[in-house]
Amino acid sequence: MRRPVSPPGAIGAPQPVRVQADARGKPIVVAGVQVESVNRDWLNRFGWWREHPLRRRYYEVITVTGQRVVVFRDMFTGRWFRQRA
Amino acid sequence: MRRRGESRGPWIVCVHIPRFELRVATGGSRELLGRAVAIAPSGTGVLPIGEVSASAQAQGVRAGMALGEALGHCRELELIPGDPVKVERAWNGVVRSLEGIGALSELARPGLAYFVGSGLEGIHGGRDGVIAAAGKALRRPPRIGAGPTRFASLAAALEARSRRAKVVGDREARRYLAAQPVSVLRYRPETEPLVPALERLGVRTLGGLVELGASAVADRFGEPGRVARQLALGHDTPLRVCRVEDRVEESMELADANSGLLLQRTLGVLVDRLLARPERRGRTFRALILSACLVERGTWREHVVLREAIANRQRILDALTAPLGLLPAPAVTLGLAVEQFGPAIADQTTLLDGERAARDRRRREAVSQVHALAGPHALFRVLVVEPDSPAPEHRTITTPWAR
Repeated sequence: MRRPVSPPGAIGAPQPVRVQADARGKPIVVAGVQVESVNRDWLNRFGWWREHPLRRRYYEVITVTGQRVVVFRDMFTGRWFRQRA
Repeated sequence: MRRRGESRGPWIVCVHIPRFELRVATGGSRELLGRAVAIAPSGTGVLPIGEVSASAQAQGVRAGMALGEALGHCRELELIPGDPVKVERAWNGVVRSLEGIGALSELARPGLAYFVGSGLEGIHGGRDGVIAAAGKALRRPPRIGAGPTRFASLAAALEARSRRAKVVGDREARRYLAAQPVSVLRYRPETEPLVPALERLGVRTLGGLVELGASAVADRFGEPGRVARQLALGHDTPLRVCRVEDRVEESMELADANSGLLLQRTLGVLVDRLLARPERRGRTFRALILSACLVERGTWREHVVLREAIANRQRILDALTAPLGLLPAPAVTLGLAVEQFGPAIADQTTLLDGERAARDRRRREAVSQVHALAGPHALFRVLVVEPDSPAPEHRTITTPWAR
């Protein structure tokens, strides 16, 4: 599995998280907690000149417990990560 | 010279050198400029391309377009690295040439300058003489426009041919502007974002914008719309001229390995040399320009404005460390120049310094205690490395806090 490459000593490095998504790719369960709503989603494409460019689909979701969580799907590997924005 | 109406009040000259940055970056190569080329995006975040050649423009590519969109319009588009350092030098040369004929200019951007022509009529023998002098002063004939306002002169310059200036008189300015396309607004930063929206709405000319009415324009487009309408009506703000000072700068060649430590040491030497320059005359630095010639091709340039005008070596180095981290590729030479000096010896803030020294002492003591209790890796310093990166984990890093 290719993990997102973070610089040494990076703050807020993404952590792998288990996410269930619906047919359109939107998260419905994050770390075992049901998603109440998806506030917004956006695509991040950055650093094409680098060895490890970024291509992430971000979702800002509110869980049924009232938590605001930002997760993203790495478009290269299909893996999900939680991002502390 | 084409003349439609006589100018009675003050009149402005616009000197426009199309694709100035691209010409400099390509070294004026006609062969390159004849192809579909654009200045490659630089920096982080959204990546817009720079100036584009006429061939690329003919295929729908525009400066400021996102790279993906530009490649969508023109698959053969060639990207060449920008050369901001060379552009600045070349542009300063142009401005000095204009100063040589007595014209103190407002510098909108490289390749676009304005000056008040009416004040020079006595020296050069009337309006035609001033325009001819401006054209002769520059090695490459510019597009010259003249009009009663900055905006009218810009519209005229955009329409002018390279050896034939276009003059818009006082009385005809409003009618002339009304017939101009709204794309002229792209050349003013405050109205540039309006252009796509106006074009989508089918407003093709400045006259069309005026016809919409002041309240409708203000309601739909806010302040930029109000400014655009005022410009279209022939109203504009006075020029803000500035003089190009002789640049105080230092540069050094770098060894093969561009390690962070080497860059830091080189930067230290450059700061020492700048501080020792006699032209400084005891003055502090307010704004600096860090630049580098890259190993591959092109140059890099970062503008650093200091929080306060200082002449303290360590504080200057601290302020330059983060920008140095943005260097995009290995460099051959590193340069440091003073863009703006501050007042002389601003460091004599005795009261604040006393407080700062006491705070530094307390911090050093606290760091020593934490190191003694928890080891040398217990404390970290947060460094901002890529503040604009869309990936949060790339924006800041921690490094061990050395004593």
